[in-house]
Amino acid sequence: MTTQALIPVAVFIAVYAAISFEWLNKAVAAVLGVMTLFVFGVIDVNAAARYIDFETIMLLVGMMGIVAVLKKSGFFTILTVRIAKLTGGQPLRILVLFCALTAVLSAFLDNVTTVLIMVPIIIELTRGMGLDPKIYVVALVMASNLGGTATLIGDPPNIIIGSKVGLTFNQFAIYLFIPVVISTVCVIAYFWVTNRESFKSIDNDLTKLFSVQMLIEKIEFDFLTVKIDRTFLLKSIICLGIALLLFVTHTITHLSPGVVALSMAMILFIITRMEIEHVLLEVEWSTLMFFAGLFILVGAMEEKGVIEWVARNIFMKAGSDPYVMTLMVLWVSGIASGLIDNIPFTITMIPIVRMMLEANPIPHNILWWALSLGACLGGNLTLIGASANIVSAGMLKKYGYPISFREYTRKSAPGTILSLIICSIILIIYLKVFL
Amino acid sequence: MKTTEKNQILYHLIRDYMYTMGTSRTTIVALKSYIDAIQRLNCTEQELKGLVLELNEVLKKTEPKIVSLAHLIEVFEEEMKQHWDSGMEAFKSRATAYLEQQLKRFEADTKSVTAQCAERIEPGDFIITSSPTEYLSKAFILAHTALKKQFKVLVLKQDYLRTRDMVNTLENHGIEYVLIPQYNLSHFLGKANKLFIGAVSISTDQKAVTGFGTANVVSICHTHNVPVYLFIETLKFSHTPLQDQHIYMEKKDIIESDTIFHMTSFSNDFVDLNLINHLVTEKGERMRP
Repeated sequence: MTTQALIPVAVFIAVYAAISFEWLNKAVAAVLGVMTLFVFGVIDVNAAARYIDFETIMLLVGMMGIVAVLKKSGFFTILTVRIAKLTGGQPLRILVLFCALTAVLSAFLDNVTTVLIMVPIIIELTRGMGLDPKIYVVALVMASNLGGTATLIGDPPNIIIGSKVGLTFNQFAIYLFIPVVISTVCVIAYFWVTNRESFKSIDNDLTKLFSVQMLIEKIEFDFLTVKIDRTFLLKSIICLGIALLLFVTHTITHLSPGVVALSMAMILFIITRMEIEHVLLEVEWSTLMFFAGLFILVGAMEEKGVIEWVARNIFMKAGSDPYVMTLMVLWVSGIASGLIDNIPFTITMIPIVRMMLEANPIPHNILWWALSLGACLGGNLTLIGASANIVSAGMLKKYGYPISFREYTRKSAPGTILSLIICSIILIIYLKVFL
Repeated sequence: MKTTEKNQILYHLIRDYMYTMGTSRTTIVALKSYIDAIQRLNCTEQELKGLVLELNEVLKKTEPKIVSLAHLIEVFEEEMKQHWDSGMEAFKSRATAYLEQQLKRFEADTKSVTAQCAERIEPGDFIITSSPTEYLSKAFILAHTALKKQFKVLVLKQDYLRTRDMVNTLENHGIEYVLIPQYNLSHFLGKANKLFIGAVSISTDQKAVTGFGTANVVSICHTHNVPVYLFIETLKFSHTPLQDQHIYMEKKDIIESDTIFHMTSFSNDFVDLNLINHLVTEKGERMRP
């Protein structure tokens, strides 16, 4: 590594530390890092622009726009209240149905939005019955991170990997559906087995049965306060459906996911006549700035040979055994993502994994699936592993159920390790089948 | 979980429900919930009596006391004494049938009170509402659409959900209204000519337990000779004095703009019946008890 490479390394480490220890806002830290590189002449503006993956940015903006309109339509609220009724107040049914719905929604919408919708209702439902909301919320958030792993658009690491590597919506679905479904089922089962007392049936407790009926009635009244515009709702769902169809038929239409998402968002704004200023308030501009900044920082490190050095001197030292390579990428990503933000980690790992594959090819993109699974599922490991975790902890505190880092991690870590073990087994099976 | 903790959670839930929906609606929903709970119950015959009596005790001692519900539970308990040993399915069937009967009776009473309220709305009235509930809204709709009376409503902005529901109802039915913060009432006392209120219960010592904020409104209207109408079902007449109405007191910290306020609040107000000009039940206007 040359001395020229030391500047981007130092800047990257400083940015990472600022983000990890929350010294600065993520976006500010990333952009400040980029400005530092400009000041020291490490890169110029043209090079910086080249490093930004606009496909990823377009996909994020498009999906944020579609979700903003869907939220306004009341679609999610109706869905969650219906599920609450369906549970009949049975603790185990609450766990299973809410986790299942969360996992499915997270596969197509961003995890934070899903959590923001689901957590208030589950807290109302569980605390109204005298249950501990924390177990349910942690399980729900884990289901959200798990579900988001299943598709190209479900989680930012997948969006980045898919865009940078050229993997399609269908490829993600085909290879990740099975590990995600099995992991989700096992994690829910883990919560049930380790907390049996908390999930006992209430059918032999008349007071609880009575409370549940009143509670569900109250939830319906409290949450269905918006007037549902059915035409608006229909338009939103149709546009989302078309977007998903176009993702699936990408190999036929050759329309990239970013183009699809942004186009459908614009069409949705037009046909629903939503005020664009209101919708744009829902777009997380700081997240997009953060992404852009990171793309530039990692691009600069790649240009200066830093990534190649890391790949050759750390990851490729593991050897050329595809099983070892795959499991190493999975577990290193899994553990690292639990401790540090998985987005910069993923962006950094992509050129490393690319180099590993150039040296030792593994078919069917298995190494990319290992990175995806590790980066996404690792977010469940600790409280700080994913944004959805932090958001849910904030909501628990707001409702009077504060949860510490230790308590959260005690509840989430075993299930995460379990899901990584399951993914290891499935990846090994993939290797056995395809090698 | 300890029984008292479990009860407190239920009382909190019922209180929340009362704040938003009113006592009559809460009674109706509670009865329906009881019916659903009985139908879903899966226990041994030995456990049945204990579970039913446990729930009945809880419902008779809510905070605040829902007198209408307590009375209905008392008659239910009396009726079911003869059926404890008749077997699970027979008990459930009889209990459900009886509760449904009581529910119909109470719903009929509420409907009658609504009709009595609508009859007391005259064309040209400017009616003040305080902590309005469902049957007051229904009375306005009845008077406006079926009885074709033209009148105006002064809505005092109090609890958000109740105010929202009243405003939506008036707007959707084309009933003229003015919405003001409660503290601006003095500006309308020369114009408004009636105050309509409901109540949770009436105690034996001549006190009406009402929604919070109502006592001040009644007081100011009484001082300015605005007639006060109290609409209430006879099932809500309690056999005990005010101190047995279990008005809930809470001390909690409220944080607003970085300032912590140590607040003491009560779930309900109470109004002396001497301040009420017209006491109207489902059977019509009656003398004070």
